[in-house]
Amino acid sequence: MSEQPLREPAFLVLTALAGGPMHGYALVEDVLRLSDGQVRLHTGTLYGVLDRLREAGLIVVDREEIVDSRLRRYYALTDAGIARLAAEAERMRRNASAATSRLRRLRPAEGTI
Amino acid sequence: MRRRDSPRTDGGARREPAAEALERRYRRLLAWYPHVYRAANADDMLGVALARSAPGRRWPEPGEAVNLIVSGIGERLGGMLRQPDRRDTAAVLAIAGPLLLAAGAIRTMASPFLFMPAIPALVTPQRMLVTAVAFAAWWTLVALAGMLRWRRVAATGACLGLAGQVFLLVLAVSLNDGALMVAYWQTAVALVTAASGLGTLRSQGRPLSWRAVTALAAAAAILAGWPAVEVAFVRYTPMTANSGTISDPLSGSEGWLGDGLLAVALILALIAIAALRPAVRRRAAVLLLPALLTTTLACWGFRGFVPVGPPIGLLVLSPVQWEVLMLVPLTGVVVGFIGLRLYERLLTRPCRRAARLKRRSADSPVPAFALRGLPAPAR
Repeated sequence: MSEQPLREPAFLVLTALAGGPMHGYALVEDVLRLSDGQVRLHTGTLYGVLDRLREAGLIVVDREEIVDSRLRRYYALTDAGIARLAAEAERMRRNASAATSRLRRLRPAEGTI
Repeated sequence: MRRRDSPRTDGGARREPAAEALERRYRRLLAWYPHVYRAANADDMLGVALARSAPGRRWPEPGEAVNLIVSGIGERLGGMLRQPDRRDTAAVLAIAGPLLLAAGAIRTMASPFLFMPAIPALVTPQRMLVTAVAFAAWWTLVALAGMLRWRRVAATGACLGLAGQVFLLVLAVSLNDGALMVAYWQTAVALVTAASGLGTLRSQGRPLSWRAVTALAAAAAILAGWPAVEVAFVRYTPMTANSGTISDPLSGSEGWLGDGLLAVALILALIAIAALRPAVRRRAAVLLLPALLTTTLACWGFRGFVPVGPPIGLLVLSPVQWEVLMLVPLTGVVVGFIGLRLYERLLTRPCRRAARLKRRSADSPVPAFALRGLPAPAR
C-alpha cells in the first residue's frame, strides 16, 4: 500500500525545515509565514508532529543549544525527509494541476448559460 | 470584584512577576505529559510555549492550554501501547471483544423466548430481534476487519458500536428492565474494544492466528447458542400467571448441560489464548479474569439472592450486590496486573542482575566473577 499523504502541519514543518535546521519556536513562526498566517501551530501539536516525523525517520535532532539557561533543540531534514517532501510536493502539484485544468473547462461552459 | 491579574494594593506578599507566573503555569500544564516524555522535551516545549505568548501574560492562552492537556493525555495513552506486548494484547482485544459482543447480541435473540412475559411493552420481541441481529452483524464485521488488519475500519466500527451499546445501556436504565444485566458488561467490553482499536491504529501485526480466532469464534458461538439449548432441553420452573415463566438453567435435572457448554467454551478460549506468544498470553489471561468472575458471580454467586420471576431488573439485585458485581471484576483486573508485574519482574530478575553486575564490574577494578562470589576462571 502506498504511503498516506502528509497532513498539513507535517507538510508545513518539513517545508520549513527545507530552509535549514530550525528550533521549535522558529518552526512555529516559519509555518505561520509559509501558510500566509493560516496555520499557527500550538506547542502540543508541534511536538506531536515532530515526534511522528522523527519516528518516521524524516527529521533528526541537528544540535542542542542552551539559550538564556534554557534548552533549544534544532531539527533538520534527513535524506528520507527530503525525498518524502519532494514526493508530497509533486503529488500536490499534480492534484492542483488537475483541479486547475477541470476548472478551466468548467468556466467556458458556465459562460454559455 | 478584584481581577485575578490586577496588581495587589493591599501591601500583601510581593506579587510574582508575570513571566515567572506564566512559566509556572505552563510547567503545570506540561505535567499532563508522561514523566519520561517531560524529561526529554519539557524544557524545549516550555521555551516554545513562552515564546508564543504575548509579553506581560500571566496565564496561558486557553487554546494553548487545552492543546497541551489533550496532547499530554494522548501521549500518555499512546505511550501505554507503545510496548509491543501491550500493543499486541490490544490487537487481540480488538478482535476478541467484538466476537464476545456478537455472541452477546445473538444470545439476546433467544431471550424473548425465555423471558417473554417480562419484556416491557415498549421493547417488543420483534424490535429486540432486529436490534440483536444488527448488533451481532455489526460486531462480527468489526472482528473481521480486525483480522484483515483494516485498522481504521475496525476502530471506527468499534467506536460506532460503543455508541450503540451506550444507547442500549441508557435505554435499559430508563426502562429499568432486565437488559441492564447484559447491557452493563456489553458497554464495558465495547469500551475496551474501542480503546484497543484506536490504540492499534498504527500497528501492522496480527497476533491472533486464524486458527486461534476460529477457536474463539467457536467459544463465542457456544455462549451465543446456550439459551437455544436451554429452550430445547432444560426444564423450566413454572411460575404464576402474574410473574410469567422463567428458566432457571441450573435448577433443572439437565443443569449439567449448561455447565458443560460453559466449560467447553472456556476450554476453547484457553486454546486460543495458549496460541499467543507468552507475554501477550499472560496479559490476555489476566483480561479474561473479569469475564470469568462476572460469569461466576452472575451464575452462582447471586443465584441464592435473585428472586425467581419477572420483573427482572434493577430490583433483582440489591445495591450491595450491584456494587459487588462492579467491584469484583475491576479488583480482579487490578490484582491480576499487579501479579503479572511481579511475575514479570521475577522472570527478568536474572537479566537485571547480570546487567547490574556488568555495570558494577565496568565501574570497579574488581572482576565480575569476584562480585558474583565465583572462583576465578582457569587460565
